Amino acid sequence: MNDTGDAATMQANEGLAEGRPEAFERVYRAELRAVMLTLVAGFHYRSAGASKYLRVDSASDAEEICQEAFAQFFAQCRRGRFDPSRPVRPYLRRITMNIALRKMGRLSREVPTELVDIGPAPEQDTVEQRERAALLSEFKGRLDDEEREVMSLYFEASGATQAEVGKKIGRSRDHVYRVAMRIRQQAKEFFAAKGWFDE
Amino acid sequence: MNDHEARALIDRQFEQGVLPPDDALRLREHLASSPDARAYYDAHVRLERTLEGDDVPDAQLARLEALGPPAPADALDDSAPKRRAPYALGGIGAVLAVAASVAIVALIDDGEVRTRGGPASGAKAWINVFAASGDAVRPLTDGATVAKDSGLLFSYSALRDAPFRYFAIAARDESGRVYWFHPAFVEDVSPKSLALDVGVADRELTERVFVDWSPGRARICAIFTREALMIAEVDARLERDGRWPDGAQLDCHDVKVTP
Repeated sequence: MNDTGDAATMQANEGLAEGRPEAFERVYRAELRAVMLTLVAGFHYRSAGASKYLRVDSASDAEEICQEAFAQFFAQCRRGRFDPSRPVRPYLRRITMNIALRKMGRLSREVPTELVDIGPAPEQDTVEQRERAALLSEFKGRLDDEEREVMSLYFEASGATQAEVGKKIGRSRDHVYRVAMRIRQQAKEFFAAKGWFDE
Repeated sequence: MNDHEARALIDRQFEQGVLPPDDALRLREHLASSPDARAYYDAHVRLERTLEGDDVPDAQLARLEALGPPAPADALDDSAPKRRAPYALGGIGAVLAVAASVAIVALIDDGEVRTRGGPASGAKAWINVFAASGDAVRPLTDGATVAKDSGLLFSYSALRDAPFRYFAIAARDESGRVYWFHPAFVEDVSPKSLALDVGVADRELTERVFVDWSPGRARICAIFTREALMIAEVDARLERDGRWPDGAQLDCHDVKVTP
């Protein structure tokens, strides 16, 4: 074991080197959000001495890169290239950044001499974000009280399950599911009317 | 798949959550080759981000989790499309499944099938319903009472010439609340109705299903159809106005749920 490894990391990474499916499944579920966030929130890198920034705007591109990053990581685990005494996240992040740069055409143009992860991009208050917030506020104003409550507890409070929301508002999980579905349908109609879905 | 079908699946996925595994896989494969479908999908994810106020919305994560981890890159045949591992729905069974053995007497007469109580005249497919409490299992006849905490067991029969290929079993109580027995209807998964075997007598569905009944009257119905139904769509209409699917053959059993 090298000096940065520890027993907890080794335990968390158990089965990766052997290519055990349950180990891949565990890492996939644990790291999925972090990999996606690297892509859609963006990351800095250095190329020819300059600091640059890449964000993958297309959700479908990000999902493809994410899947490819995991596929490559699992392949490297099986080939013994990943040291299981080291944490997965930085290694996987590096793979993700490399694939994103290649897929988005940056490598062919810029050939980064130094691919250094210097963290995510700072929060950006863009015109688009402000416009989005204004539209969302207008949309919420059209919901009834129960829909607004579900909107707040289920959509905006990340991680709450429908059953948990149901318990809070004294309704069944099925009922929350139906309200959530109704909110999505109304949101689709509202934002479509604002030109979000070009035909 | 063409773009029109892909759009319909994206719409459904957005409204109902995760698609059934086969549809999700077909959609992924189409997205890989169609810029128009990708743009349509991207617009929906943008809306999910807006609704949830998160760059990686839970709805998108749930879809990726449902795909499961990809095969290691060195295990893929580069000449073939990269298929993702199918979504394992094991969680549903784990929640509901307690295998039960139900003894049912079936009478086979001249190639036709009849069961105790018998189906409605002319019916080509029907169900039997049983209440299970501990080791005791009893059939539920029309109007029977069932304790709130009883599990329910089902079997179905379908004649060889039954024109149906799918079925689902649900209940609606007098307050309009809807309960699903088969298929299970769980968090953010939108199942389809189940494949039906024909030419079978009293095929047991081995899950003992518990639901959070409200005491009072309820109607349990099997829905037999030629095409698979999207359960979320049936559910929404059933709760809203009590309408069972058009064109389906129903086999219904009225019960009274006691506290």
